[in-house]
Amino acid sequence: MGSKAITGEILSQAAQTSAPSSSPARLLIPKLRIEAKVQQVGLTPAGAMDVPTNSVEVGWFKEGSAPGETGSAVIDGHLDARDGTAGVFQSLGSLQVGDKVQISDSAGAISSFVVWQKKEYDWDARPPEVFNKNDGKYLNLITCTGVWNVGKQSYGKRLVVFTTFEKTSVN
Amino acid sequence: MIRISSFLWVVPLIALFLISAGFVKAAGPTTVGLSTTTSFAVLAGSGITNTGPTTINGDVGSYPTATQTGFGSVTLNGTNHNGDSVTQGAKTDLVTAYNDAAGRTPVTTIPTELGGSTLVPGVYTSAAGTFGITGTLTLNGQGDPNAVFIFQAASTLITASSSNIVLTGSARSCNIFWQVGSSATLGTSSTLRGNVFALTSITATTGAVIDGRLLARNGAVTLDTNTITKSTCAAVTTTTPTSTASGTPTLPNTGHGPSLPVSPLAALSLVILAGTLYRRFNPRSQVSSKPTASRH
Repeated sequence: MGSKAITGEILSQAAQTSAPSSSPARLLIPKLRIEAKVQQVGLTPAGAMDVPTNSVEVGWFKEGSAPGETGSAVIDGHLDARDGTAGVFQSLGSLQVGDKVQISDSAGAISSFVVWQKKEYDWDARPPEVFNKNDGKYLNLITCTGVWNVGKQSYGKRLVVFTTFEKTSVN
Repeated sequence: MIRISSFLWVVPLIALFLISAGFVKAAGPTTVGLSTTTSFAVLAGSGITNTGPTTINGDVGSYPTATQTGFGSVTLNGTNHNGDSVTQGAKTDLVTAYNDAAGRTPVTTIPTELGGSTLVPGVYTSAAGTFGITGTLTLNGQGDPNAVFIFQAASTLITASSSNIVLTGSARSCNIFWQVGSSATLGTSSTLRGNVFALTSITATTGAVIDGRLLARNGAVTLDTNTITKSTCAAVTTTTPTSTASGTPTLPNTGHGPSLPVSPLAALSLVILAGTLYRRFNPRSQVSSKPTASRH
């Protein structure tokens, strides 16, 4: 399972603070003009993280941490729709280190995260650093990338944008 | 011929290097039981005073003096036990936890200043009986999420403005314990991780963030625009996916693929099919399509 680091700069975690835990409700990425409702997803029978039921909302992996909790929170979103139009994460790859990602939870708190790394993985990878990194508070965003494989009905790669917790503000 | 005994002095030096570099992992201390103090983020003996907007994620209480000042600007995500029986029980358990942490051995004596250093699991004290953090202290759990760090300060813990504690190698704030023989003062905009057991008082100055607990036995806890979140070890256990054989899911398939264009070949096939069907079912077409008699 090869992986290619696009950029490996790790931002300082000095700004880390703590956040109350709650279910994520909306994902906001100001740079990409994304404001998407968050669905809860589990595992497919094949053991893959499941995906949201449409191409405009995103899916939070409910078996893992919630955004702002210690551990790795994971959210995925479609690259494209069945009709070929753009999915919510069509432009996820244009995020750069230092860009901000926000999550509002069901209690109204907004947790902010900062992009610190992007990586591509093979389509069938099981990377522990995406799901099981517990030495901080992380939010990892996933979508497809690479070349479409008709036989597998899958793109050949997965793009993961790693973000680290910055702060939580309560409205 | 070189005498082997002339090199024996190297052996302890190599061992010291391996241990200090983290290549040799000694068994670390076990955790300090918090018992009923677990639910508390702030616990005091002679009251709690707050200034400015402070967020407390966990219970609060104080006994025998239950005074609370400035709580109008506190966002409390927990229960305010004031001086009730729950607080009283927690205060008793705090004494037990304090004495447990204070009595742990073996103890490694390190410099008072912790900033800029990286420590592995263990029990630490300083010759002066004080600890301070200026800059960043890194605690490396060496891959063990149950790694425990105990700091025994006979008198004070004082952290500087904007000081920080970074956790690496699976270290967790719930397994960090600061036993302070007198009082602890946390600098402005600093971040402290772990459970502070102070015999007397604890002061968190403006903007300090505590990823752990502030538990004062006899004195007051003074807050100023802080965020205090009680850290629990159990939460991490539930965050590890265990539904798959490898413990880690496969990455999701978030693509539908490009929409299929109508290729020229497919279009030609549709035209031929339509023409065939038209000739098959249209009587006029069938008559006209009958073969003509051959001429002789």
